Amino acid sequence: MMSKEKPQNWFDQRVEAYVDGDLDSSERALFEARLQLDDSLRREVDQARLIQGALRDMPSLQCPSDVRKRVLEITGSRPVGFSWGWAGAACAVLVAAIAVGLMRTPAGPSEAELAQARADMETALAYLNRAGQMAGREAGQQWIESGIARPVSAGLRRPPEVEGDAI
Amino acid sequence: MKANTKLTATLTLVMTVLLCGILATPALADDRLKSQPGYVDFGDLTELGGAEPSVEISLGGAMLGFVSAAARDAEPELADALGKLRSIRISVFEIGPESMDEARVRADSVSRKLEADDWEPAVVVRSADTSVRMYMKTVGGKVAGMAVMMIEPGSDAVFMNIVGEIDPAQLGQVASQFGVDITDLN
Amino acid sequence: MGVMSLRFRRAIRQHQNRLFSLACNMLGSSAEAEDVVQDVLIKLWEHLPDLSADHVRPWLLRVTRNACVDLLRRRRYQQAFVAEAVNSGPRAVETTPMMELSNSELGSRLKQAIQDLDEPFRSLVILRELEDCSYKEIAEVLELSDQQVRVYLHRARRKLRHALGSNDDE
Repeated sequence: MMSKEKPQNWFDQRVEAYVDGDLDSSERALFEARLQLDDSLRREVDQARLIQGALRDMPSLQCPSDVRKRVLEITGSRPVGFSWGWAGAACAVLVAAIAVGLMRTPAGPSEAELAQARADMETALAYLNRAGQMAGREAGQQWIESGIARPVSAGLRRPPEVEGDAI
Repeated sequence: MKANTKLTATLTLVMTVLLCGILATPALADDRLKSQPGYVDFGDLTELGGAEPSVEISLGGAMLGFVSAAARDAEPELADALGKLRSIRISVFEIGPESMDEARVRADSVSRKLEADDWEPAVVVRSADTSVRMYMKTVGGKVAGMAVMMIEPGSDAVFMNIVGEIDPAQLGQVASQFGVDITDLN
Repeated sequence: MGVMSLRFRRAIRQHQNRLFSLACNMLGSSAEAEDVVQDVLIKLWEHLPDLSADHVRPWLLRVTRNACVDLLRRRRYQQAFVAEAVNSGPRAVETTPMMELSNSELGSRLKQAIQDLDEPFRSLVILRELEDCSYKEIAEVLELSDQQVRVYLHRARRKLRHALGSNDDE
């Protein structure tokens, strides 16, 4: 397929795809051949790159802190998952549940809640591990080895580097 | 009409009682936790040096029980370690040089309170780079609570409290499995 | 404080700036963007128990984008389009060639050109170029195929290029 067979707008429609590297090899070859000959197409490519760069250089915006405060104020007075529209229906379901004795069995967390709790637990323990490691690094190798494993009652003593009770 | 009014009044009463019950449950659980010997009151941790916590976690006994149960088959040691815990709370603040002093003052204040309440300092380390304090509360020969405060200049200030029956060796071993890069957690 | 409440606070912290930026760029109005983000976050509170951790961000982006589109549609109906702080620059046709513009001039003309794009082109440019969302994420938000996202995005950027004066055949 020869470049000259393509109308001008065929190339114009592919400028952005070319800049993004999204043209397949045959279209790319065709496009690049035309670029060698066509000053105006070269200018369009340069401008497309300029726009691309300018878009990506646009500063990201900070959400005013008032928004968070307002949201927490509003949601703070409602139980999680609460919406007025569903409140009536939820109450009716609750009453029905009591009536059939379902309330005797406590409900477990949803899958999402459980996954979040697991992730939170891992995060917390990672920090605990980090504290153990840092204490070890600062105070001596025996703290790494024992970590937090030595019970207080077994006489965990402050390492020699410790300066008083308070840091 | 009268019957309708009566029905409405009854339903309103039922709903009020139910809602009171629902709303009161977290508050009661909160009170129960605070009465535990291993509980630590770190004071107001909603901000430090004007910044909100970058990590804020509070897992209660019920949720830890569910996590423990879910881990029972694949990770029995983790399940055991979590099984007797009543709560894990942690607040982490990203701190710069300007908030170092405030973090230290906060940690000093909590340390004084803990020592006054017979918490035993397990690790108290100070160096130019970092400070780590771990306290444990023992009741009847068993560890009932752990408090960890860690300050890394230019990085994080960490305040952590674990409440419940703790086997430090087991918990340490389990924690080492989660020794991921903390910087990825935020 | 319960797990869900903490999860909610964390989600706000994590996503509020991106949502605000998205809404601001969509609407061209920081005041309206604040309202949209507030409403979206309140909706998140209602839906969070049903959302797994992986789905929170795409859900937020989709709801924010849809809220902005609704607002824009209402604006059009009311014929009360008011350009506000973000895009308060002059809308007169610029005659300076694009290559000679300073970065800030180009930035301000770009903002206006984005405002003038129709949907879904405006959302595509904002999500991809300004908010750095993946094609997959954009496809989910806009309910398009990955291929459509790619093609429409090229088209959207071409519209911007033409709007900025280098070509007028579109």
